[in-house]
Amino acid sequence: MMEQAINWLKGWLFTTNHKKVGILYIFTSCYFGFVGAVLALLMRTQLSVPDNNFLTGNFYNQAVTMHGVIMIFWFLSPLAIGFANYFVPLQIGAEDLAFPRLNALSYWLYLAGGIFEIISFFVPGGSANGGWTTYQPLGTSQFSPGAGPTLVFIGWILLTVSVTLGSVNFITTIFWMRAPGVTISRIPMFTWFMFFTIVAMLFSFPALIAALVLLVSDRVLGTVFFSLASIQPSILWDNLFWFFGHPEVYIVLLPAFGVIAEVLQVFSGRPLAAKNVILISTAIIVLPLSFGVWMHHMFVTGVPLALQNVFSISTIAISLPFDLITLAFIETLLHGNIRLNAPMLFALGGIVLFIIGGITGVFLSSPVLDRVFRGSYFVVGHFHYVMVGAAIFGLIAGIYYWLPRMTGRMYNEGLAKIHFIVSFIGFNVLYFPMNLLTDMPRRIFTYQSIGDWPLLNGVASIGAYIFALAQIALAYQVLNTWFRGPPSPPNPWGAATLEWPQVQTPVVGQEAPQGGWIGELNTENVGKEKLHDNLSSRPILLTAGIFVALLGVPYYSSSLGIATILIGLLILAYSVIGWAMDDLKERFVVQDSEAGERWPFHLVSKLKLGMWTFLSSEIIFFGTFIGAYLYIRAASPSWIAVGSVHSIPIGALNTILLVTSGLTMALALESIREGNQRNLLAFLGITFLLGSAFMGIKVSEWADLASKGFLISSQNQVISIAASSYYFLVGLHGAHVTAGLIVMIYLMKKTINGQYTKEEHRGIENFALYWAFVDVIWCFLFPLFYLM
Amino acid sequence: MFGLLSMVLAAQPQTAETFSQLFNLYLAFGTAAAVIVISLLVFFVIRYRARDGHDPSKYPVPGWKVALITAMITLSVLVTAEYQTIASESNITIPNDTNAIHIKVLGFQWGWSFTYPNGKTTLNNLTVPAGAVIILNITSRDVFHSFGIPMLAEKMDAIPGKVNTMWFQAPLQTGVYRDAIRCYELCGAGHALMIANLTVVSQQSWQRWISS
Amino acid sequence: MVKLSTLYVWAYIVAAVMAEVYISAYMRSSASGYTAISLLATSQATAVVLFYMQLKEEPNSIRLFAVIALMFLAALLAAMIATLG
Ligand code: HEM
Ligand SMILES: [Cu+2]
Ligand SMILES: [Cu+2]
Repeated sequence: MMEQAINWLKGWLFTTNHKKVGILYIFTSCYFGFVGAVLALLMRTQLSVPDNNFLTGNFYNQAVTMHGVIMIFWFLSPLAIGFANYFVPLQIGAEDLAFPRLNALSYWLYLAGGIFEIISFFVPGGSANGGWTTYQPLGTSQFSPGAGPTLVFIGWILLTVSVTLGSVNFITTIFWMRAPGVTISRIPMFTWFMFFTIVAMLFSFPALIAALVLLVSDRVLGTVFFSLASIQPSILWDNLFWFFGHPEVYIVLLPAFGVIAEVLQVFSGRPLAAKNVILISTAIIVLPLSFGVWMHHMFVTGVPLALQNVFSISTIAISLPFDLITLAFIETLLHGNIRLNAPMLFALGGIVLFIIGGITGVFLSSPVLDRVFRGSYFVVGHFHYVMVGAAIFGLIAGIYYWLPRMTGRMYNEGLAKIHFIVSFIGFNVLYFPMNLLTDMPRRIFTYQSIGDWPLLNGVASIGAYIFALAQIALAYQVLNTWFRGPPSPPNPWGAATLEWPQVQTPVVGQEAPQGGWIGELNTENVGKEKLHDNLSSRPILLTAGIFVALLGVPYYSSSLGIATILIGLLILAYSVIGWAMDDLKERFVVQDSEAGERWPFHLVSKLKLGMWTFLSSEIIFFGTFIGAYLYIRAASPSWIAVGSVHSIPIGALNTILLVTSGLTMALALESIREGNQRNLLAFLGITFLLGSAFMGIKVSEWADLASKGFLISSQNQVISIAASSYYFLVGLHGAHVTAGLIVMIYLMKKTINGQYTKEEHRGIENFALYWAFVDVIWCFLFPLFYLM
Repeated sequence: MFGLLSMVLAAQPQTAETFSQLFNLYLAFGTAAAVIVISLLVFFVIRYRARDGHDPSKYPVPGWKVALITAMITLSVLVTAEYQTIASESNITIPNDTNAIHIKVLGFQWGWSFTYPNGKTTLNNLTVPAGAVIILNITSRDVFHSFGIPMLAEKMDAIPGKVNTMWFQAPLQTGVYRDAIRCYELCGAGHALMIANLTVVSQQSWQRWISS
Repeated sequence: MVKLSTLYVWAYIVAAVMAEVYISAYMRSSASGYTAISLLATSQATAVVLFYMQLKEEPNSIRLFAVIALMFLAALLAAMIATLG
């Protein structure tokens, strides 16, 4: 009994199975959705009547901030990722995701980040309160002191890291793991839209991580990127945040479109109309252009008029493909045989709400109209129509649609229909009044009784209760179906995609579910010498280490904080070494099927595809830092003179050392390509020495600079900002070099074991990529800091 | 919003007039589009409800043709809208008016201070002569704020370390427009209370007021 | 057998470092000096990416990743600097 329970628990905590991780994502995201909804109801209660005293201004601001952050980052996107975990591999006939342990790691990092968000409410001073956009300098410690905001931003960084790892995983999966027969043109719509989502994530999240890391560095290390208004205007943050922020709105929306596209086909009995138009316009217009519209959020920050016009036009342009998609969705219904089951109702409702939300968005693309709408409740109405109306309704359609597949049981259709009707009405009562509140500022915690504000706000609050209460029906449905629902036929909707058992099964790599996953276990080999393929304790342990270490960060000036950090690092080291030992002893082996559809990556190994995907996001990551540095320099009236602080000869010497280590690493790779293990070891050793020398010289340079008064804390603002950017960027690069050195120790050990051969040396190949990338970054940092 | 419209109707300074014309155009296009598309969806759902003996696979799958036509229609609507926006940008371009009155606006946690050409300063009350062209130089002492006068359809961020400009034509009707000025960017616990009045007086009394 | 191109690339990068230092000493803080240094840095980075990271030998589909990322990054940097007016 006891043992069974432990095995059950291990089966979830150590799982790397995509279905189970998917279920973890879905339930965790719903929990955070609940937290976000409670915060929303607190806000709507406060706003239901004028001059209300239910909440203080300070707590309201925390609620509005964390409601936005939690709903977007811990509820909406992760819910979609949960579905993607479960169904993308099934839809393309893959055994699992490309990197199962990485996938589990993504989940645990997401959860750890979420725990930070929650505990931030309970530390003295409370949580972050500058809005989900956290415009600077409001989020710096001068205006938001305390550990709470720091914890929020740290948790947020964990989430962004989780998303980046997930992006690499999914792109590799979708391109490299398709079963024979699942050619590009046979990829189902949900997988396509998840793919678009993931691509947008891959390139936009690095900018957010960079911005958040700069912010945390300001708060913890005392750098001054966002807090020196006299030197540089602070729209640096706006640029970085919205460069990420606009793609983010599509990241939130597109998975729901994927579900809607599946559901429409199944319940109308018609293939998707103009499918290629949808796919192509999303791929070549929506994705690229989503990175070129962000300044429509900055029309009133005083950017030049010409720039406003460029971004206004690009915003108008991006609405065109959405118009095509919506009309194609509607055209799909033509000549159909429409069944109005719950998934279909929510999909259709989502389309209707998207139409309204999309049209109000066109209003916001006009810089002239934005002079009224910006920062008003009109915006709140607009984005809830899109994010709750289109995205949440679409994902609820997904819940009903796939519930029978996940549980093997059928939900109660009558209750589901009531759920839809009440949700739809409640939604409009809640949000339509906001479209009319064009003069009411958003994020205000109270208002006086003027004009129609009391009426419209009162109506909206009533709608909020209706809408929120309706979701209880959803929670009941899911749990009730899961544990008690009547058995469902294997393919109740007659769907044609591969996640459902087909009459003739051409290519599926997966068995049909019998009774779902709850209670089903595969834990025989836990804890024994040879780990079961499915289980690994490393992801959760690794995350625990990171979590504990970061928990101490806001308190690093106390000994308790330091102790916490050290304990965390210890756990981290233990699990990293464990992970490496797993690889060394080949304990956790993922068997790749030999055959499969891999175009256009059929010539590339799986690991290499993953590595390049990761590197392309690193380009944005480092590029954002370098861009921030260039921006600060361009904005600041003066700068330290070339050669006056940094010694050019030492910098040049160090550059040559690092470049030479790049050469020796390339030679190491060439050696093992010819099967020469002895030379591999020698070149790895030289690379290690050169890299260590580089780091040694760096550290002595820093000591020297510090003794000369080149300090972040300098009273001279120019020196302070110059020192901030220098120590930060060069330090970040140094951290990458150091990480590389640590990995090299492992590579040398594995080389000595003779585990790299002419045929199998992917580890060396990928490390060579990484090391060369570190070189590339330095090629820019050296001239930027020493010569220019 | 109804409040906004009625205020605008009472006195129609230039910026508000331009705004409401543009807004009405967008509203007409937007409402028409929403009504047409949503009706089409509802019609299809009713017309093609599941029925016996109907075989949906008999009909060809729509390709790119309809998409192309709808794209053309939408494109023309969008281009018209965007063209009108650009034609209305006098609202967001500082006019070249030698008679304009320049006033400095400083946002702070939590209030607005106004400095007039002769150095006179007021708190949370902006007094201007009726019908005059006013140019504001807006900045902030601490964090982001956003200075907005919805009834005049104007708004501009107050950003530390940066001076932004904004203009409007003062209302023609004299009087105190209570709470006409608000902060539209979250700026801390007192954000909701960052309100100021707009006082419009006649040209002569303004001269008298400012030199007092 | 060591590929000669690997050594040539190294020699080029080291030479470019020298050239950068030289330029910065003799054309200090001039726009043309900055341009020259930036071009040299870009050429070094390109050489590393093409030869040490072997992008030269990868299929176009892999190159696309880097190209897309660089495009987005260019958009970010250009518009961000443009906001300074
Ligand atoms: C129970 C349903 C919901 C209610 C009653 C609700 C209500 C609200 C309210 C009152 C605000 C404050 C508006 C303001 O003062 O600016 C707000 C902001 C926001 N909501 Fe919701 N909301 C709900 C669901 C959602 C969902 C599901 C999402 C997202 C994915 C979401 C995303 C946001 C965002 C991003 C903000 C802006 C936060 C900020 O200003 O920093 N909301 N919501
Ligand atoms: Cu946007
Ligand atoms: Cu404010």
